[in-house]
Order: sequence, then structure tokens, then C-alpha cells
Amino acid sequence: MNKTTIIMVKNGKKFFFRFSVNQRIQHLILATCVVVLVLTGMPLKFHYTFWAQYLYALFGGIHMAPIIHRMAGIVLILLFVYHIIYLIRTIWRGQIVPLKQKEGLSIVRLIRLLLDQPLMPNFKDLKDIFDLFKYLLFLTSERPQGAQFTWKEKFDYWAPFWGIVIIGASGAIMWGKEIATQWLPGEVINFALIAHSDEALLAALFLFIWHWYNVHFSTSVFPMGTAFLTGYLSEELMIEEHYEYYIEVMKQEGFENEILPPHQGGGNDNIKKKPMEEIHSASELPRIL
Amino acid sequence: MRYPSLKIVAVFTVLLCMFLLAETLQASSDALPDSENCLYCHRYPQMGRYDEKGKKRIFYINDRVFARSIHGKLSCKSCHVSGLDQIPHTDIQKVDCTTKCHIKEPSTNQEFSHANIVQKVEASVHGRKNGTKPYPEDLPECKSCHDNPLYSSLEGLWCDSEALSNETLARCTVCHVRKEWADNFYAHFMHRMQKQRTQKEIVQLCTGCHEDQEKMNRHGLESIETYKDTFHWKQVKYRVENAPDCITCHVPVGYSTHEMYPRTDPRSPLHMNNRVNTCAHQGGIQTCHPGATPEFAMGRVHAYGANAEMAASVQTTTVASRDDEKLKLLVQVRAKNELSKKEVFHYQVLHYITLFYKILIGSVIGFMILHQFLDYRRTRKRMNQRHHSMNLEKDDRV
Repeated sequence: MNKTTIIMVKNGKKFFFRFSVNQRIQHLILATCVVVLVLTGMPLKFHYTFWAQYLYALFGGIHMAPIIHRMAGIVLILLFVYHIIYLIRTIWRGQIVPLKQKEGLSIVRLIRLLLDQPLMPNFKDLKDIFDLFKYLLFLTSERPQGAQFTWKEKFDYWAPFWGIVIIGASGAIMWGKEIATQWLPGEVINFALIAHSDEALLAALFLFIWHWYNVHFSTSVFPMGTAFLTGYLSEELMIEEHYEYYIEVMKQEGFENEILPPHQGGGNDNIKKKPMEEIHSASELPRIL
Repeated sequence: MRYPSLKIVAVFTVLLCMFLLAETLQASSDALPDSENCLYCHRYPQMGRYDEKGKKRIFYINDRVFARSIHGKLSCKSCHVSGLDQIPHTDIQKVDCTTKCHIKEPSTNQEFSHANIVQKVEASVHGRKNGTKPYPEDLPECKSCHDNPLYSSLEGLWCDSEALSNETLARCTVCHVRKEWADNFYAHFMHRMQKQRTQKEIVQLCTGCHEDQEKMNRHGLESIETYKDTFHWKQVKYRVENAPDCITCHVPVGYSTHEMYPRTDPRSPLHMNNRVNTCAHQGGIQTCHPGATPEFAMGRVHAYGANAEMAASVQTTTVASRDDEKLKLLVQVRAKNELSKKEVFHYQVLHYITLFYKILIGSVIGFMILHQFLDYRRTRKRMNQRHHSMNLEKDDRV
């Protein structure tokens, strides 16, 4: 955290740090694997459609595509294992060790620390979902003010997290079914097949409808959000999506005088603009993994 | 006036004559033994009529094609035994495959017939059991699965090499001097050595009945379109060599298609005692799951428990009055008798997992689509407003 610039100013424009190089590489591997897995898996699930055989032939048909599918699966599972290690290491070094030195470690403090992780779902997310729908339904012109990671991004993170566990485990069971059934009952293969293919369908739809819309097709980022490549987010989007965090960072980095007002529901002057101080009181330092 | 094309016409005519002559010679060598002179009428392609039900019947016999078929050496009356004396034929009877066809079977020197096969089928799941089975018209007869296939040409057994086949044949004809006989014998042998149907054709053949939901209900069976969810079918579909079709598991090596039994019968390859071996498929063209454990073999390849749901609801059914209720009852009784409690539990778990994912996918995706739709509408509105207010500002400046 010491090395990274939280707010980068370029040509008079501010850009806000989002993802480290390590995280961006992890995301790229994840993205590549998921796309390959979906493309090599769906022609099997939807074998009765007209496009299935052409798409499958593109990956070498039934002789090659399953091998590619399994290889991509292995890479994804390795990435998952790495991510877990990375997660534990980062929290340990960045937070638990300083906590130990400062206040000493206790179970209550540890649990509170884990619950306070920026990607942990919390009550604010529920409130934000509710508020966002109020905004979307024109009931208010104020967008909920997002923290470092909004509920959408938490969704983006935990959906594949859960998905990799389910799909990875069921895939491994089906791959090594003779070995797996030395410990597990035979029915588990049937369960694994349904879980694997339905969970995968959910994941693919999630990717296209949710993630790609939010980062590619949504009118505010179209044609493509660039944070996954550059690691930085523009001020405009920062204000729109993460206003709470924006203020926090601006104050912390000494840009207090340059804080811009939140996005209003579209240039509507009837809405009274609140003074900056009332909008938010920066409470604690942001934690970036 | 000159006719430059006359020469060409002449050459063409000669060639045509030679071609036709060759055809005729070929035909005469292949021609079937027609001592009854049936072809006197039946050689005409237009031969046929509409029967009482208005169905078009074609009685044309292409003798050259028929001669190349597995029954090509039989005379017509070998199978069409009675009712042919009057012309036009009025009281013709259906062909019965148990008829003795006046060919001596070489191993026993007895007259050959398919009676023993028919007997075996009668005793198997597909048999009518002397009419004790309900809806006997649903059950298959010989012709439901068998037609009169053609012998393949002289290739296939030895790595698709015609030359090798000819070499083998040449050895036969050292002793068996009648080439026609040797050819026929070799063709017969090769025909038995090869699979005559592709895996896809076999699946089509079986699913012709077994995917018919109504027909299956009548017999208390489950329709088997769920086979198409399996990787087995996908391999068949994408044309993997030796991919598992229906008979790979239901009639593995050492079993006969004509002797299929319910899986509760110890003679069935799907009986719990035989399953491990069936999955491992030892002794076949390939070993499929050599590491198969008893637990592995317990998994259901293609069954999602429609029967189990029936079994679960068996107590609630009152006296069956309508026909479909009767059928339902039949399924329930079968399910109750044939499914163990463990199996019913298994099916219920499967059912709930499927339901869980249906609900999960439906709700998550529904929520997302709703959100995206609203988001799009909202941002468009905001952008329009912003655009509008910018224009206003411009106007003010002017």
C-alpha cells in the first residue's frame, strides 16, 4: 500500500487506484479460463442445438475439447488455491500482524477484522440495494453512496468464488469417477452432473448478463471499463459508484478542497445540494487488499 | 448437309449397348432363384395397390438388390408360404419368422428356422408372454428391429482392404471351387463379424419405442430421453468410435439382444451382481471403466426418478376410474415393487437438487435482468436530462 499511488493525477484528471498488478493478472487468468470453459462445456450441455457442433468443432470436437476443458479447469483450480493463499497472506501481513503489535490478538478482534474486510457483505449492502432500486424506479434522484466495493462487486467476487468450489469439486468427481466412488456413494456422480452443468449455466448467464453488462455494456462505461487493465478508475465513475469511498480517499490524500458533489438524478436543480461536510464523515482508512 | 454428330451417336449407341449388356450379364449372375416365376409380375416398378385402409402398398421386387441381401439365396415361397395360389393374391398371410426355410443349417444338418430366437424373445422383456402382458400390440416383433439388410461389398473385415478380402477369398476357393458359393459364405461371415448399425442408428431404433412417453406409461416404464443428458450419448452424437449406445450396457459382450430381462432378474447385465462387470466391460472391443467399483456401478446412468415420484404418491391414489388413472396406478405399483427405499431417496435428492437450481437460476437471472433493464432506463433518462440542461446553458449564454 505504501508503494501504490492511491490517486494518480494525469493531465489534470484524477484516477483512483482499484486493483494491483497481481490482482489484475489473477483476473485475466480467471477470465480466460472461464471463457474457455464455457465455450468448451456449453456445446455438451446444449448438444441438441444447431450451433453446438460448430462451436465444439472450433475447439477440436469431442477428441480435443474435453482435454482443453480439463486443462482450463486445472488452471482455474490452481488459481483458486493461489488466491486463497494470497488472501490469507495479505490479511496476515497487512492487518493481523499490525493488529498483534498494536493491540494484541483475540478471537473477537480477529472475527471483527475478518468481518470488516472490504469484500465482506454487510448491512450497508442490503440498504444500498434497496436505495438503488428506489433510484432506478425514479423514487429518488440520489444514488446510494458506495463504499470501496459496492454490493455489485461483492456479487461479482463471491459468485465465482462459490462457483469454482461447486463446479471444481463436481468436475473433479466426474473426471475421476472410479476413484471418487471408492470413498463416495455412486449417486454422487449423478448429483455432480446436475450441479456441474446447472451451476455452470448460472455462472455463464451471470457473466453475460451481470458482469459484462456492468463493466462493458452499461451506458456509463460503454464500450469497456478499463480498470481491469489499468488498475485505475476515473473520477466520474468513482463518484457515481463509490461516493462514500471517494470522499474517504480524497480526504486521506489531501484533496479535501477538490471534492466534487455526488451524481444527481440528472441535472435536476430542484434537489438541494448538501454541503460537503454533511455528506460524509471519513471514519477510517481504506483497506486495499 | 453433313451430319458431323452421326459418328458420335454411333459410338455412344455402341457404348450404351455394351453397358446394358454388361448390366444384364451382371444381373443374371446375381439373379435370385425364381423357380416360382414371381418376378413375372413383381419385376414391374409400378406394381402395387392401395389396401382397404387406403395405405399404399408396393409389391415391386428389385431382384438384383434382393439377391445382395442376407435372404437373397432364398426363394419367395420359403417365407411367403401360403395363400399365393390365386392371382391376384387374396388370402395372403404375414411372414412368420419361425417358418422352416428348407435350408440345411450346416452344424446340425437340420432345416433352418428362426424359431429358437423367437422363443428366446418371447421369454424376455420384449415377449408377449402368451398375451398376459397388457397392450401386446406395443411389443416389438422381428420386423420392428430387423429388416433385410444388404451384404456389404468385399471390404471391411481386414482394415477396410478389398485386396486383403480378395486374398482371403482366393484361399477359400482353392477347395470350395464354386466361386458364387464362396462369395456368399464370405459375405455371410463378414456380415456377422461387423456391426451393421452405427451407434446413432441403434439409439434411434430403441428410442423409437422407448422415448414414446405414452407407450412407456402403458407399461409402467420410464421414458428414456434422459439418456441424452449423459456423456454417453454426447459421445455417440459427436461420433466417437465405440461410443456407448443402448446395447453397449444393456447387451454387453456375452449377452444377447433377444434375451433381455428386467434389471431385477439375475440374468440381466444391469442386475446389481453384474453391474460392475458391465461398466468395466471386460472382454469387449474396449474396456470402458476398468476401475469400476460396486459404488460406481450403483450410480444411475440415465434415470431421474419419474417412477420414484409415482411411488411416493402411491398411497394417495383412490380407486382408478379413468384410463389414464389406471395407467398411473400401473406405474405406481411397478415403482413400489421394483424400487428400494434407498433408490427412492436417491431420486428424491436428485429431484430437489434439480429444483434448487431451477429456482436459483430463475431468481438470480430474473433479478439481474430486472436490474439491468431499470438501470438502462434510468441512465438514459439521466443522460437526456443532462443533455437538455447543457443545451439550456448554451442558450442562456447566447
